[in-house]
Amino acid sequence: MKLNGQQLLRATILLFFTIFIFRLHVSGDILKLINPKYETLSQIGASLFLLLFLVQMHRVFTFGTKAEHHHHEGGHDHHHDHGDQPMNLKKVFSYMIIVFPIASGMLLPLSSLDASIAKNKGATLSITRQAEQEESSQDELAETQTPDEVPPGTEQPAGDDNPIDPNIYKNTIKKTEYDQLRSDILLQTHIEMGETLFSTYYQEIMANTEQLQGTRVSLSGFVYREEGFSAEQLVIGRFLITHCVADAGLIGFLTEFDQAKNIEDNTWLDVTGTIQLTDYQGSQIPVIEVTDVETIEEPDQPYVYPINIEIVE
Amino acid sequence: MRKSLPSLIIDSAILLLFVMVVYVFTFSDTFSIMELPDSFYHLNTIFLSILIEALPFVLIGVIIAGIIQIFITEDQLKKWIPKNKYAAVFMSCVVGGLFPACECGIVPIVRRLIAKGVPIYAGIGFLLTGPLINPIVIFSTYMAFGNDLKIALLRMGIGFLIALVIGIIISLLFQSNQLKAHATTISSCQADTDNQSFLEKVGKTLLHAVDEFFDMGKYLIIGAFLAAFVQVYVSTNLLVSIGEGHVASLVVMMGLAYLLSLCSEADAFIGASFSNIFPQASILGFLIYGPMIDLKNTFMMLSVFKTRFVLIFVGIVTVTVFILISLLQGFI
Repeated sequence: MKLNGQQLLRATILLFFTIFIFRLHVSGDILKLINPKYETLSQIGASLFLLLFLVQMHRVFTFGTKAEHHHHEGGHDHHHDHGDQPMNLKKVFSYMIIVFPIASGMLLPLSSLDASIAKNKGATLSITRQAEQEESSQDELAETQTPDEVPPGTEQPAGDDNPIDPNIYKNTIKKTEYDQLRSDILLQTHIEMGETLFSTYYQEIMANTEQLQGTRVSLSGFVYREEGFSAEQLVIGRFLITHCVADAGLIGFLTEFDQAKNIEDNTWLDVTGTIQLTDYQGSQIPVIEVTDVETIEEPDQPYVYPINIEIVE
Repeated sequence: MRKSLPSLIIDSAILLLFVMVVYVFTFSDTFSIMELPDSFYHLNTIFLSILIEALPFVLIGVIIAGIIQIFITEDQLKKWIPKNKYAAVFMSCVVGGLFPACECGIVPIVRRLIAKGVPIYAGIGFLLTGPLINPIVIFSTYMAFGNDLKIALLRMGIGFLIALVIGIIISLLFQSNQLKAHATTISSCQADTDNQSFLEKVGKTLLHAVDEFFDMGKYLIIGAFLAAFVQVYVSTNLLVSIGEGHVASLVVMMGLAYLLSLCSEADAFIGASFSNIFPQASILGFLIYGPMIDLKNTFMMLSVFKTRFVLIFVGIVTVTVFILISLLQGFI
């Protein structure tokens, strides 16, 4: 019986990948990395690592006759690496690269993205662009209004104790409900952005700013500033994660209020104010004239996700 | 591959030992004593997010590659590929379009196909359309551009055309398979699988997947790390300020697509966020170029193909996408 060190190393690495990913799921840290929609896929990935580990275990020991399993040994100068060739510096380096993410993932805490990343991604570029881009959808919207019905959970008066939505990470909505929501937004007197509908409401407000002027809106997000803002201005926004954190984009509103100058970047705020229209660098964009502002802790779910619309009903 | 009793006992013993070591290691807290700049934590987080998101796709890719290796013979493949070069390129682009894959998952599959004797140009056609034309990408593009089908259809249509052109160019330039030396003789692994039981074949398939993962994994990791580095340390505003005018904006958008290395299922949302700043043709450049080739995927290809081929290939794709999008600019 012979122990194959390198095969053991490979098995260990596969096992650690399995454990690393499962640990992210157990601790909930996975949501700092990917959209919850992809959780199942990621678990399948971890299970595949486990499967590969179990298969790899068969190679760790060779028992006498088993060595002939490597049927194509000899005869070729080159064949691909089954992990049975002697270690050299190049291979040590390769294994170090493969181990790197496990080490950095297990040793370093995960951070959530903040204003410095938003700055790098050119956040206001995307804030200003939507005002124009979404304008086209206004007309079709106006026609589909049905004033009598209000979908559950969309029109909540301010100050209402909102119970925590059990489906907060589910983020799925039926097509009809979604259309209803979009058309109802113009009728609301107070829009609570919440978490699940943050991106939906954001888009609608961007698209219908003119009609929504004067409407009250509540949202929470972190503080972000661009060069050229006045002392009373700051952006309150959240990162929208489509797939993984690498594709995060900031969505948020320009706000104006007197105390703004005392608030540092990255502070989390809960604000209520009215939607107004303003001119920013040549585009008409919404601005929120803030009336109530409160500093809050960074929420457990700092990111928001696009809502999944179930087309099949 | 039946195990003898002692081997099973030892397997389980080691397994148990692993679990214990890992348990101790796993449930100790992360080191927060280390004082590193914030940007480094962001880099690490974005790096891991790209990796965690890509790994399931890559694993599925290496397993499919293992299945092709063990279960599909050269003869079966040859029957499927038309003799005529152009027909073969066309066929491979169509098959790629029907096969939902992403740009990292498809590399091991293409490698295996080429090692099995699929001509390089057909493999490339498959590589280019696989991540670009598939239902998930169409749907996410449709959503990202305000429920408008136009961009999604243009992306697929023009993308398909460009993939055809690239496939044909490759077919004129390269005859041999362009695989790295060690990858060319892999097919010999199959030598004695014919008389093996199904279960043994499955075991072999998975062992191949393990080797494939170790071959490719390090390149995926390097690619993901570089892409994360660009996201944290290279300012998009800087790039955008360069991008005045049609040509410059197309260059900037293609450059971004390459550097950011986003998955094709997610890039539409980022692309859409530039639609106020840049003309539609440049956005299309971003949407078509990114799935075909990017930083992460270049590194993975370097693990498979000869370096010279990868460089030429990246050049051809870049130039072709650039020229065709520029030509089509007036019609979009």
